[in-house]
Amino acid sequence: MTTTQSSIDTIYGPDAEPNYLNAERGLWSWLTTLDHKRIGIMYLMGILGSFALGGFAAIMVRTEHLSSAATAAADQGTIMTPDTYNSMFTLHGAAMVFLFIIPGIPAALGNFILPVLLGAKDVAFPRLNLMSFYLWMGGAIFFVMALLMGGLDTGWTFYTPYSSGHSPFGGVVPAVFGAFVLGFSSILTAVNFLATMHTLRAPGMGWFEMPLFCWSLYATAVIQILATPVLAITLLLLIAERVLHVGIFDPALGGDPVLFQHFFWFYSHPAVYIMILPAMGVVSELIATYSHKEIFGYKFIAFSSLAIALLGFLVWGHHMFVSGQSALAGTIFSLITFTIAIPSAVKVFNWLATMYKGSIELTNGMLYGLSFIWVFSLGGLTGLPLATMVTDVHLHDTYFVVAHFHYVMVGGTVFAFLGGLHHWWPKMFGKMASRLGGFIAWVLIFGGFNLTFFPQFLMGSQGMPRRYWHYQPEFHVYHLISSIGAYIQLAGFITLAVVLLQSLIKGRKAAANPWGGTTLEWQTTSPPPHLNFDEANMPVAGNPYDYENIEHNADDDEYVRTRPQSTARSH
Amino acid sequence: MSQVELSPAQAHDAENAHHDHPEWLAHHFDTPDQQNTSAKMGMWAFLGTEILMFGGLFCAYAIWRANHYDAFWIGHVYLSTAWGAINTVVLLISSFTMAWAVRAAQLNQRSLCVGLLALTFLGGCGFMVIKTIEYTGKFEHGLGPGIWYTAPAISKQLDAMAETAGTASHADAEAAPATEASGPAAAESANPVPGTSLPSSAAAPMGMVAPAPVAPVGHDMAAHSAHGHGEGHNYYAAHGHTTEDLVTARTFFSIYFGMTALHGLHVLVGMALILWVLLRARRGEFSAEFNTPVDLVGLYWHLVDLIWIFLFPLLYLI
Amino acid sequence: MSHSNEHAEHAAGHDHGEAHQHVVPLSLLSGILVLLLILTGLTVFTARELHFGEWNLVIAMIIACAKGTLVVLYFMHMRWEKMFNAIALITALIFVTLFISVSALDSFQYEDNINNYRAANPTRVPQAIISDAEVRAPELAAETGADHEAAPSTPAAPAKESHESGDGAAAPHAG
Repeated sequence: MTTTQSSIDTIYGPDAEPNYLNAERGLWSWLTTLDHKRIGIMYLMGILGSFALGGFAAIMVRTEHLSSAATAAADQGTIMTPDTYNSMFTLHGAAMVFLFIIPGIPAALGNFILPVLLGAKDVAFPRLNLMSFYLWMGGAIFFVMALLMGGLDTGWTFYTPYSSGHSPFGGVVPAVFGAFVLGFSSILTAVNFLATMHTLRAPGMGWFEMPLFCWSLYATAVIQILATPVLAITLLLLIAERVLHVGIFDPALGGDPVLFQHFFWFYSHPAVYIMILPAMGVVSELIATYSHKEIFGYKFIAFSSLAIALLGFLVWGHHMFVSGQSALAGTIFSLITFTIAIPSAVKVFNWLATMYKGSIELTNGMLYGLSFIWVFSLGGLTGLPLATMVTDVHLHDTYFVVAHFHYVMVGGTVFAFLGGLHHWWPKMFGKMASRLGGFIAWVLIFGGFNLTFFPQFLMGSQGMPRRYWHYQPEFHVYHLISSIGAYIQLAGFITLAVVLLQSLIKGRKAAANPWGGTTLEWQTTSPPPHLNFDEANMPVAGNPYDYENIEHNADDDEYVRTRPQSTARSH
Repeated sequence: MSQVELSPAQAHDAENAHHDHPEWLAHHFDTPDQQNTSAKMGMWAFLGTEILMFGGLFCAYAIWRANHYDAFWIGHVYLSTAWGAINTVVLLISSFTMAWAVRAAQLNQRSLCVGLLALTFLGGCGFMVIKTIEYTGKFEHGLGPGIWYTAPAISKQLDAMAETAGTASHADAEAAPATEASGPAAAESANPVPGTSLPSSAAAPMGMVAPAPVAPVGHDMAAHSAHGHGEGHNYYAAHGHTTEDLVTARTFFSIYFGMTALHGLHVLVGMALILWVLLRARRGEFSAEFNTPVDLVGLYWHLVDLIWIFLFPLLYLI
Repeated sequence: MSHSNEHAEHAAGHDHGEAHQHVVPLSLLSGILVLLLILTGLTVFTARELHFGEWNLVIAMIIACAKGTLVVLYFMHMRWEKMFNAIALITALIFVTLFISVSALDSFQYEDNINNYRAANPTRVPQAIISDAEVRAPELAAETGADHEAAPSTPAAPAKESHESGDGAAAPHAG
């Protein structure tokens, strides 16, 4: 009980100035807290735990592929049987998607930083916020139960008729129910953020004075509200189908298995934008801050988030080109899918224009931001052959698809998450992480990532199907390189964990504004007080990206504003 | 808007934080209006998610109905329009008392508000009681969802028993081949029950209320023959349906139970919420200044009503 | 700066006390209830007594939409609400429509193939259903004390040509 608090005391000293971490004491004060910052930290711990779980499964899968099982005795792979392999890749997908990526940036970083960015004291509904955290925990517990009840092997997509009847694994129902509960958590967070952004902006903050991370969270919240309920009903119908055989997705009983895919992807395609939009918001903050230059094309970036959110709803059928979807629907979906490239490219070009003639500082946060642009562009461009119906017939369900979405999800979302973590780490804990250590971790993660997934594009285009335990010997070299890359990434993540944990103990004390940021969170102390700002001096917002009058004070390694923020924007 | 203009407001905020902050106003809001606006906004966004969640079921309904129209036609005959209509009226009235309760809370009429909330709660109870009666009847006749849909097999057994007992009357012997020969059209001419006439299709499920769960199937059959105008040789035949029709109708009962069960769950949640604001209203926690919880629970209850407004014609009035 | 600034507005127009709420007159609420009850009667009447085939569904849905609109506008106070709340509701409805229409667009794509298959394989009864039901029915019969020895375990009844889904759908309307 007291260990949490005593360790906080050792870190900050018993008579440190009051902040949200030492405002109240004891484990109970954390479990019942209504402070969005503490809830954000709890989410962060839970999400990193899930990431470790999903990462473990990934390493198992890659280890299995170290050798082609064709040479081994039947049913005796490198380290596991086909059934174990199936449940491992399912666990990897389900844990990473439902427990880590979807709540990752909005619920952990967003919860911590959104109200501070807005100059508010808390989110609109603090109790609801805590409830959505506990729903997340509940969903996570169901996932663990699913593992204990025999695991599941349906893939994270739970496709029928396999999931609805044939899968012999006992974990299907608890895992599906867990995803249902996680959906509720996601919905409640979205409702909360939406209301917060509407009603709790600081004086002087109109819609176009919001930092771009807020815009991306707004677009994300819209998707979560409109798409997640459909997932909820889909999963309930799936449970009803599996337990009661109601017949909705089972053709033998008059149902339609393709209908499940419509239901599932009506949520899950927009869900990939739930994953990537907040990442884009983080990158906007990183690029502007570390270029020390006003973001280029603010309104274009803001509205492109909304455009992606809207278009993201109209393309779900591109997952179903070979599922027996009608040719007409396929053509429409293919066409709209191409248009998504426009708002995505708008963002990329604006980031590049922001960096042009900026004074770029290669902090660790910026390194992840730059990696995002490079890797996300690669991931995005390899999406085009998948959006084209004819080429998709060849590439569907191969490693090409696997590489594509890992370039977008890991190279995109995870890199932005790590960049955001480095960026806001001093604000969260009041400590500076080791720059060298962080750099080494970045080299390992970035290098390992490309080594893991680039060969997958090559073998996928040559026909290596995804989710196969067994493969032809000609793919061996690609699998070998890919697995080595995975181990390098693992080393990188371990390094990163060590660096961040060490900063809590030995890190230099962080100044209020260590990076030269201009948004409101840098106007309060690190870590912020319980109510985010000094109550006698609540912030007034102006142009969120006014870098004109910020000067670096070399003595304290801190940035200070020499004149009040301007309210006019240059573009 | 310049710095100078904002400063007074800001100073006002800071001042406001220390005094004149009513107990029911959360610390992070400056004014009651801000709190109320946020709450309403959050509630409407949440109601949007509820609509989309039911939207999934409406989508399933639309596709099934289009693919299996005959299933819906056969199945809906077993639903009682009368019960459905009564339930609609019950929900509409409870929605009205809820709206009135919100008005009472806004006008500081405490005891009236409590009374109206209690009436609303009773409306919810009434709805659930009627729903239970309907559900019980369905399960008794093997018309449940999925694996509980055993009607075709029961019907076949009843037919077989009737034959082996040698009790098949002349009328039955004539009716059965006619049905076999030309499907529902013939069945309908032989037996005017399905759909078109309100009294019989309404009366039959009322008959289901009769507690016959422990009676042997044979007795059950006899009972149903009695009010089945003496024409059908079992309960289903009394509705003009063959075993084969019953096989088809399975789809309808799955969607019927899916939709009404999710709706019923919402009714239960709504009732719990009404009870919660009722207790708070009794303690005098609401006033003309602060009545947001009553308002929000009201919105939720109206949504439950709203969904039923669509479910009733879609399920009972095909 | 022309952008709305709700925070500042709240602070400026701040005068402790009631939030801006609209109190709906009781007469209006009662009037709406009466209208809703009349519409309920109307929907039952049209469905049971008038026969317009597929148009019955359209009529029922028009009446339901009218009822829904009344509930939303008056019981739920939407007439006096902020624009955002109306937008939230309308967006939700638009997305439901999108979802249903696109899924439906796809569902009938193979209708011809299904009909051809049915014509070639005149077994209308999916075996899964009857066998599924038969698994449970003996238990149920046993519970109710029936003599299930008498129940023959013959497979599903033979299907009839005249019972294609198209005919099945049309027949009830004829009656």
